[in-house]
Amino acid sequence: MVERIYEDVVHDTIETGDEQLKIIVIPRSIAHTMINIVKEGKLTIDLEVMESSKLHLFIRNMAKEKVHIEIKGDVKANAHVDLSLLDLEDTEVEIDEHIHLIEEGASIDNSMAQLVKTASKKGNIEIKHTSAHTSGHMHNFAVLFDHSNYEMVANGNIEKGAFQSASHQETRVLTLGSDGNAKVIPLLLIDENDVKASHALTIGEPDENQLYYLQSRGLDKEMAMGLLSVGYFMPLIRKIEDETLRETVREEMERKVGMYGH
Amino acid sequence: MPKLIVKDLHVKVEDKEILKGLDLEVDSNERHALMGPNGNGKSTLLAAIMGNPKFIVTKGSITYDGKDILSMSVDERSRLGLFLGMQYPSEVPGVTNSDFLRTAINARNEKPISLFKFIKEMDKAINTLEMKPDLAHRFLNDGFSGGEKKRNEIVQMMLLKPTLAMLDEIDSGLDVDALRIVADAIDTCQKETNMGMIIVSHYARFLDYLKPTHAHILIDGRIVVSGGPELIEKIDKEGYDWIEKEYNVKATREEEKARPISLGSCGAKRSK
Repeated sequence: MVERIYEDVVHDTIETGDEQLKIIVIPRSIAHTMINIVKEGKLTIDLEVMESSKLHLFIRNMAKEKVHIEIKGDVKANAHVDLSLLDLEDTEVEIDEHIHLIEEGASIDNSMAQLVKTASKKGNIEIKHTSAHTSGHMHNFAVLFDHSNYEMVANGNIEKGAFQSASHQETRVLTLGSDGNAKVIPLLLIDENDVKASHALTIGEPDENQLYYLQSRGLDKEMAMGLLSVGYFMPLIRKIEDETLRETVREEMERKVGMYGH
Repeated sequence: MPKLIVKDLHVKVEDKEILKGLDLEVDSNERHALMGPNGNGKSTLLAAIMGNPKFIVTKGSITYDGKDILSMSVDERSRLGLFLGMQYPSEVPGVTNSDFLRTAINARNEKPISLFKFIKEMDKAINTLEMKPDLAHRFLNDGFSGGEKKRNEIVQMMLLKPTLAMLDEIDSGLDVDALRIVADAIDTCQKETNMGMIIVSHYARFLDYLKPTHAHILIDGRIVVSGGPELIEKIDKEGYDWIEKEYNVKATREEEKARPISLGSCGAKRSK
């Protein structure tokens, strides 16, 4: 098991895979962590984010074979987690994530973006609110090509007593191929009256007027579709703080969605 | 110099024939104003030249620079030098203006444009059109006002440097100041590129600024009369009624379309 304890202000990059990782953020500390998954197998990430601390966690899948990512997290009083997971690999990926907003004022912003080509991607995300004034935002983006398979269960769960909490989720799936398969199940389980909750879901092909507009400026169909899918990845990629890395990842993404031709 | 030649063009939209045998020739450096009552085929002509898939050419030919463009895809026509400034440009949330334009420029060049040169050219276009400097980083037309969208079409034209520009009611949504700015930008662009132009506009003042070299009146799917700037003046004073009488044509009156009202529904319904 690998353990990281962050105190004060910390920037950290971890190369990992097929192991257990424990991350603890000490009260009032700020951690910026980049996790590169470079090895196939099962990776367990255990988060303990203590009161009034902040964790910016960016997980990037770079493994060349199947990975199973399990994330468990407890977020304490007034702590905030910004968690992003970027997956541009054409490999099987399974994600199980359970975040527990355990004390008052805890919050998480959870974003995922996945490029789905031939290998299947499955996700199951739960954000559980057990205290008042907690807030959970989920954003799931996916771009699907031919022969792809994408499944996502997104669950915002507000328990009794977690009044004045907010659970919002947004799932956007762009289908570019003809025989992609997308299954998205948004869930809001709410056992408290005084809360705010919403879900938004779109699954669909690119708008034909948009395609025509882009093509009328000289982009061929592949480039136009590539450009439209860029919009699904950039919100995450913009979160990468290191400028050089951000540009590298962006270029990788643009290449993989076909913006420079296939 | 490339020349556009439209011969006996027939175009239908959703099984309704809109253009019924239209002829037009546009050479470089010329400015052709296309006029006529709404619903008689002006936008249809521009869309058919650009290759909008909703507009079906049933008869006739369109060549540009000697090439049959009807056999080309929309993007090939664009790369050949055609540009259509649209009446209702699409909004593309998630894609920034600068990403879009850089991709569009790269699509027509063998070597990608350097970031430095691109930023310089984009800034110049933004300044010329007196737009807000954050334009490059905003999503393409997303949340733009009508006037901003139209100016953004001209920004694109300045960067893509077409050899034939078609502007479909580019003046609508522009106030008097913006009108002048856009007209000046178009003027500068033509001086740099010698592009030919087809301008659809109802607004005499815009045409005053642009000083077309040719004018055509399109009624019921055909050009019934062509002339010079004096024709524009006459239309501005007397309207189209005299043409209907003199040339024995009847303008198509636009029908009011009943639009279905959507109260919105769960996005999941879009899934297939």
